[in-house]
Amino acid sequence: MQKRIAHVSDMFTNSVSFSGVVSIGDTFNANLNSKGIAVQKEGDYFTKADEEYFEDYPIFTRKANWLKDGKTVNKSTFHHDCSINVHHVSLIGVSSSSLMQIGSVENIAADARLKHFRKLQD
Amino acid sequence: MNMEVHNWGLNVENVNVDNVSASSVFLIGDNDEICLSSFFDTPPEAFTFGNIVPLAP
Repeated sequence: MQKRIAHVSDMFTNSVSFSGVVSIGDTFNANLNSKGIAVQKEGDYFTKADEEYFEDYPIFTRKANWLKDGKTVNKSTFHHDCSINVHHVSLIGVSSSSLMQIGSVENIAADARLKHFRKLQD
Repeated sequence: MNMEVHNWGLNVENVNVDNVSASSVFLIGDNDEICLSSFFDTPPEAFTFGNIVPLAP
């Protein structure tokens, strides 16, 4: 794939956390995975019993059911103007293995799994 | 299937994004293949957003 040159004149990123990626330029392969458990509990103390583990829940091991293999696409790209010009980009947060890319990236495979808990005092 | 792409220019003046999260992608540029998958599980008795205590200003 023919590449283009990224010209970025002004970029503001407040926070890049939990293996987020901010990249200007070319990437060949991006493989992003994030697993999260969010526990919201009523009451003012957390004990060992409130901890949750990834192994206990099938959502973290379930396979994604992708579409059956569709048609193959033969893509041919012609860059007549080989530059990407960005004047201003402002980002507050890039978090939990996300990707902010200015430039070209060939393949991206990303997977995110999140489970919420709300523990109320009865 | 044949696909021909002719790019003349890519100029971005101004972009404001609040949050890119949970294996998401914010791309300005070229790409060949993207596969994004996400699994999300909230308990049935989840509160609506109404009564979650707002953060202090």
